[in-house]
Amino acid sequence: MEEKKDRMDVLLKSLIKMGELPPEDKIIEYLMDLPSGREIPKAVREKTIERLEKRQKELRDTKKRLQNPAKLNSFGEYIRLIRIKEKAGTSDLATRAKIATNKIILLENDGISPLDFTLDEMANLIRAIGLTAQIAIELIKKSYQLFKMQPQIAEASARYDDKHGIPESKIEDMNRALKELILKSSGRKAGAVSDPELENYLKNLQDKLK
Amino acid sequence: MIDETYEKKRVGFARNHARNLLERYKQATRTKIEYEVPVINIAKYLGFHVEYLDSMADHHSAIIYPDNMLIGLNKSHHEHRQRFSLGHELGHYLLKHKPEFELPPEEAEICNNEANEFSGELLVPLESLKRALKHTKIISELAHLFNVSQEALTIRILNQNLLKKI
Repeated sequence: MEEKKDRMDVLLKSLIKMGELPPEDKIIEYLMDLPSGREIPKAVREKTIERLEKRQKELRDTKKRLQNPAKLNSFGEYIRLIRIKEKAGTSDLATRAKIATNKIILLENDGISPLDFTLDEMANLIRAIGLTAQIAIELIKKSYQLFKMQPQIAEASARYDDKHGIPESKIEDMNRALKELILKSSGRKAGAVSDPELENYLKNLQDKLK
Repeated sequence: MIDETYEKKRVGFARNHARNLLERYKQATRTKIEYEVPVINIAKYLGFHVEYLDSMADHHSAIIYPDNMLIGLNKSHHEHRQRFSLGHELGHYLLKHKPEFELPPEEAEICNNEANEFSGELLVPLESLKRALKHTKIISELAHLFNVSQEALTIRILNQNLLKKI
C-alpha cells in the first residue's frame, strides 16, 4: 500500500511539474471528484494510478512529437496533438476557429479532404493552432494525400484491429507507423504529389495567411 | 508447452532459408560478400521498398506491409538495430509467418524467435563467422567486420556453439 502511495505521489509531482494539475491539496478532489477528507478506496487509487500513468505517457509522447511538426503524418495529427497538449476538446477548437466540430473530427482522422474546408475556415484553423504557414502547407499536403489513400490505409490497418487483447496504444502506434510508411512510399511514385487543384488551393491559402 | 525438438527444427529451417537467400542474392547479382552483408540491397532484390520512419514509437523497430512490398524501419534506432530489424522482417516474409497480431502470443513468440535466427544467420553467416574467427577473436572487431552490434555477434557465437573457438 505504502509503495503504491509513493508511486502515485511521484506521478502526481511529475504531472504538476508538466503544468498539468492544480496544487497538491486539490489534486485528489480534482481527479476523482471525492469530497475532501474522505479516504480513497483501494480500487479508486489503483484506477487513478492507471489514469495518471496513461496521461503521463500521452503527454510525454505528444510533447516529443510536437517538437518537430514537419515530421508528423498530417495536419489532422498536428491538430489532435495540440489539443491533447492544451487539454482542449474538438468543440473548443471548433468554436475558436469558427468551424463545425464534426469537420475537425474528420480532419483529425484523415476522413475529409482539406480542400473541403473553405480558405477562410482553413486560415482560421491555422491561426487558432498557431502554426506557421509553411509547416501548415506541408502538413495539409500530407493530409490530402492520406485522405486519397484512405481505402488502402483502412485495409492495411484492419490487421491490427482488436486482436488478442493487444493494447490500444500499441495498435495506435502501429497504425501511425503504417500511415507514414504508405505516405512516404506513395510520395516516390511519379505524379503522386502533383495535383493542380491542391496547388491552386495552397497558393490561395498562402495569400490569405499573409 | 512447445516441444523442444520441434523448436530446434524450426530454428534450422529458418537458418537454411537465410543461407539460401544469401546464396540466391550472390548468384543473381554476382556480388562477392566478404563479411558485411548488404541487407538493404537484399531487401531490394526481393522487391521491397525500405523507408525510415519518424513516427515509430521507440519500442517498435520495424513494420512490414507485404501486400505493397513495403518495410518501415525506426529512423531513431542505431544502424545495427535497423539492419537486424530488416533481417527480422525479411525472415517473417520468407518464412511465411502470419502477421504477429493475428497469432496467439505463444505462436507469435516462436515466429519471432525464428525471424531472429533468420536475421542472425543472414547478417552473420556461419561460414563467414568461422572464417573471421581465424583472423580475430575480439568481439568488437568481429562486430565491426559484420556491421552488427556486439550483442548480436555474441548471440551468434553462443547459438552456433563457437565459444570454444574464442
